[in-house]
Amino acid sequence: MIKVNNIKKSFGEPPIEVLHGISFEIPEKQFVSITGKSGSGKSTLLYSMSTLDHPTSGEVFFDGVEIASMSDKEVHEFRNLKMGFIFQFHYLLPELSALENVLMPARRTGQHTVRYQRGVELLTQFGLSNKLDRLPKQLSGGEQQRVAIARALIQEPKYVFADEPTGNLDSTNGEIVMNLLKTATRDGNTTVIYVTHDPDFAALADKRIVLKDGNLSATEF
Amino acid sequence: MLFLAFRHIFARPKQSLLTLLGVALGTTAFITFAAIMTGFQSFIIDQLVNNDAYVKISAKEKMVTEKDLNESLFKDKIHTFWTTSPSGRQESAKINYPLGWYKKLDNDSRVVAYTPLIGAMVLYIKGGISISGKLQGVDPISQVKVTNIMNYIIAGDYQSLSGGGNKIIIGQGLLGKMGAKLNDSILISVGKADPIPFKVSGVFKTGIMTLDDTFGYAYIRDVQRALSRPSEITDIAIRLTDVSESLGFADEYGEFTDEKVQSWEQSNANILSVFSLQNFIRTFITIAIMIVASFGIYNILNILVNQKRKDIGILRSFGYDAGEIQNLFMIQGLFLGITGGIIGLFFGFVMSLYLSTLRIGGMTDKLMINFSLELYSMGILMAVAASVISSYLPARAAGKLNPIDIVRSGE
Ligand SMILES: Nc1ncnc2c1ncn2[C@@H]1O[C@H](COP(=O)(O)OP(=O)(O)OP(=O)(O)O)[C@@H](O)[C@H]1O
Ligand SMILES: [Mg+2]
Repeated sequence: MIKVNNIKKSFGEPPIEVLHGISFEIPEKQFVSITGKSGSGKSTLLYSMSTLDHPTSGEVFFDGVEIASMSDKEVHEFRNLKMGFIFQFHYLLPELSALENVLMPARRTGQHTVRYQRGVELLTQFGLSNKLDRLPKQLSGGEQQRVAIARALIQEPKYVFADEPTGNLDSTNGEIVMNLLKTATRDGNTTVIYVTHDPDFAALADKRIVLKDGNLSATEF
Repeated sequence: MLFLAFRHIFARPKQSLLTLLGVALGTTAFITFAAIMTGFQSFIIDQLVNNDAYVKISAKEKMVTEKDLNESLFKDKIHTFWTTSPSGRQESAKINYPLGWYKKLDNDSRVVAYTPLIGAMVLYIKGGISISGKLQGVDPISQVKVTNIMNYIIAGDYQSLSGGGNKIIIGQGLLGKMGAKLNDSILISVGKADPIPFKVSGVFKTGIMTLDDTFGYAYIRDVQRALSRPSEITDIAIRLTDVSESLGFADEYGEFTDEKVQSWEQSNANILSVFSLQNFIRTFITIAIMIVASFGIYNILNILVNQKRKDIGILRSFGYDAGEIQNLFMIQGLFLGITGGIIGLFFGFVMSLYLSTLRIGGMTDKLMINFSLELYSMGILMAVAASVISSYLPARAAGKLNPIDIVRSGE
């Protein structure tokens, strides 16, 4: 469960405030969308609550533990074991095959052999069973994004953060990706929080966070 | 991070190979240079130490003073007055009381052996040819305990000197210049008297031209007689148990005598100073080469870190920390540096082997090449040091990259 308490975020000097004090709670196993106009602060919120960035003020709790109270080492461990990230661009490592990319988070703790089977299963489930050993450049954009999702899910994370995961895909591929994420929430013990511009994809959410000019304009269930 | 580091290296084989070759070339150059120079130097030093002496006590050329004359001429007078003060130099320097030295040396446990010498500048004459050189009167029996001259006799017999009878062992170069050969008779002129005939009973060759082209050894009594200086000696050459004690030994003995006591380092200070200049230049060149090689690694890693910003961002997002990212690049630099270094050692060795077969004139007629383990350890150490230093900055910069900036901007 995630608790966001009155977080504000400013950029630059003099500071310009982009998030003006946002609070909400997300229970376990939720599929959560963040929507809002361009520039409303969606990405900023997502990164500020996910340890990649620090809010200027306010607190974020994961399962009751405040992020700011964790040591650097604990934050990295938490990210490695409990979180998955998906970005608009897939960011696959170009030297590694699809399967090697998927196993890369597990490799940090030497778990890549343990996770191997899960890696193959995820990619098979994502329709890439015959492309395990392909390099990223030998895959289409949609296929690459599916590999990136498999990578985000390899450690069976409790939280997945996705910033416009379908932003670079056509509607067919976009749907495939969203369904995969939705399935992960349903079948795993995972909360997925995703930013999207697409009203159809936003409608898939269990809970919706809507931003307007850096303020929470609505949370809907 | 080893896994990804090697993927990076092998993903761009050309770049990696080129970087590696830079280091390899530097190391090869270092090994080759140093092998020639230090090989030559230690050969020369070995010759200096072992063909001459660890420590040498030499007669000092003394000025004659008023006091000296007063003592010997007017011993019973209380006051003597000179209209013009006497001045001048003793005709030839000699060791004043050799027996005193012998006694002292006999009782010193550091001394392995010592041998008396009498040296003089002479003219070597054969037919119409006369060549100036040095004649050394030696006692062959103790001489061979002090120096390695026996090892360099290429014809005749060193011990043939001991019988007396004006025999001489002569340097190969000098013999050649005179156009003489073994068992020929040559003339030696010591200046004032008529030239005296000596029979060539042996030939030596050390490889050092200054010795081979100018030196002759004869029995000490024959030389004393030729110089009309019966039982005088000019030097005592000493061999110690430990060569590194030479300097201390010389200083200690020099304290309480007028005579000159010099260790091999002191008597060859000029050569050693040339060596230290050589070493300075070599160090300088080596550093320059290594800087160039380091720049190769530094450049390639800097470019790589910039190209890999996205990868760094994504790695950070799934929990790889700053240290791990730094390692990713550090490993690459070290691998290229160390592999390059090892290849460099190999080529340096091959070069050295080749050079050691060449025959080149000079102070020695063949290149003396150093193949010591020390040299090769030094070579690899330098390659490692250069790659650590040159990898560190780019790797640290990579570790410091902020993932959020990369992920946000998409580049
Ligand atoms: N590093 C930064 N420095 C200064 N201003 C920033 C920075 N990052 C974001 N901003 C500003 O913060 C505001 C919110 O940006 P954010 O990226 O969160 O918007 P968004 O809702 O994700 O928009 P989009 O839908 O276009 O991705 C924008 O006005 C943006 O210019
Ligand atoms: Mg955004």
